[in-house]
Amino acid sequence: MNQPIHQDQFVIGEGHAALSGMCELAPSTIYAALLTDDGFDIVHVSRTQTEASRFASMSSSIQALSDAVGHELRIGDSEYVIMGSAQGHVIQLRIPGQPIVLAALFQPHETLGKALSTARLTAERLAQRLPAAASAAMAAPNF
Amino acid sequence: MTATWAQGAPTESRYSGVGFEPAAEAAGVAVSGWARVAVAVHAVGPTPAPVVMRLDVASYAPILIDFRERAFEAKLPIGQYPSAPDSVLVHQATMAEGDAAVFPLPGADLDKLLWRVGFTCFGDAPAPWLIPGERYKLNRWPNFVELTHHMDHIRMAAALANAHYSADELAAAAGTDRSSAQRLINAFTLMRVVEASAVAAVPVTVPARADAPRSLFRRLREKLGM
Amino acid sequence: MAEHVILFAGPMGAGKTTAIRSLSEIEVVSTEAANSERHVVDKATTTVALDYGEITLGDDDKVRLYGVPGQKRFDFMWAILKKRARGMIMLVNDDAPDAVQTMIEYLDDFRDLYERGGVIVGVSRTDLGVGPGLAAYSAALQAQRPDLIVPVFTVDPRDAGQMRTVLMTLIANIEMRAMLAPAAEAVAP
Repeated sequence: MNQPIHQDQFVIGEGHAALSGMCELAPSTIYAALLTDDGFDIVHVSRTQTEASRFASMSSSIQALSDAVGHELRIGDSEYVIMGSAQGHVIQLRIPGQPIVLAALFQPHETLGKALSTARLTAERLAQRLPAAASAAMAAPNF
Repeated sequence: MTATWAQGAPTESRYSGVGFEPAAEAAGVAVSGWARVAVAVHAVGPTPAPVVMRLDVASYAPILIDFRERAFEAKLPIGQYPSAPDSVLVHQATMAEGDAAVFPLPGADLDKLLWRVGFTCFGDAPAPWLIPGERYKLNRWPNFVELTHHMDHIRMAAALANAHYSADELAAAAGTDRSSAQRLINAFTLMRVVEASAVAAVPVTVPARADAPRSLFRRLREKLGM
Repeated sequence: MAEHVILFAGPMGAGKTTAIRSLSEIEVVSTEAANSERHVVDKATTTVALDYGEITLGDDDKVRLYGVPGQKRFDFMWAILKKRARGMIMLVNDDAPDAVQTMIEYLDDFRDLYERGGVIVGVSRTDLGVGPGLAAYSAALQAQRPDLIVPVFTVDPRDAGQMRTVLMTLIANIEMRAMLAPAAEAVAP
């Protein structure tokens, strides 16, 4: 049986490097995590006290719900999700070709455009570094 | 004692060595058919009990009950036995510790047999073991998924799950007729899924408002065609 | 608008999504993701937010069926959905390890519903004959709360007829319990 992604040291290493790079690109990043589609924390970088495993579960729920909305409205899978609040913006999106989600919290002064483009760039760079996911691991959401 | 089986029965009977004897008749209770079975089963008492019973239904294969396992075996689905057989002979035997099962286990859940027998065998009359003035309350839900049932049965069981009721009170609470309520109580007491109480208080229900909508149960029942 | 929320809960792989599909009039909204824990439960996917189905009773009257994820790491979804729920169908597999204890632990997380009498337990795969069997679940529940008679039925979540019996039993139990006046009862003559 393949090792679960969240326990794969290569993925964890590459992921950590990607998230660290993202924090350099956008110093407004408070928290950034990579998580599996089913809510396991793979790796995270944090400048705040956050329960990583709980955040990973919640992010996966949000990702799945947003995909369900896209399916219901027949507008395709969710490309990104933004949650805005007074004290920060959460942006999350999938790593292309992987059953992995990138979720990050940015300070409120950061523009949404910058935050989103930084997250996208990070996701694309990480996608190029990771081997193609096994087809079994990329089971499509079952609507 | 040699078993006599309907066509298709195994040639070797597990119970051929069991010393069955006619079940004792209850004093002052003249019953026949399935009612005789019900009285004999009720007399066995709470289960598990170290008793096995053989029911010889005229022109049908015998039904075996093993009260140690709360199970029975019948060669036909229980619904294919006659609802009012010409005669049923009841034989039983007391088993010793370690005696083998009289049919391959797990057998069928005894509730299935007792539900069918108990609901019909006394008609609209109370079962002979019931005492006037008693109220009844569930101590265990029967597994309705495995019992032939109507929604009225479930509604009555739900009432009994939450308070003690007599047959009249049960019919009123569940919105059913008294005959169904009595039959259900007969069956449930035979199955020993209710406890009886002579001292339980009259259940008090919140009066329904005149403008109250029909219950969700009723609306869903209509929608699902149940 | 009258809505009646029924939750479907239980461990991963118990058949919650399947049960909702058996009952729902609409195509069920699922939120499945690839399962990273195939060694725990050998399923390709798992629910990570909720399943949603419904039964329409009238213009403004629906029964909403919500399935929650089975894993404890999604218990925030349990908290969100149980606030709105009238009742809950708990599904367990009889052949799962420690099935009875698992049921007890899950009921602990849905204690409010349990204590209001708004729970029915559906046990699947009893026909395999390898699990503790129905009586063990009832006995465990009785030991915990002798005053609550919780329905425990065998069930195949794929079977619409069986799931309807389970749903109707739950509703009947909730409504009958609600009919009873609290506290003072008349003294028996």
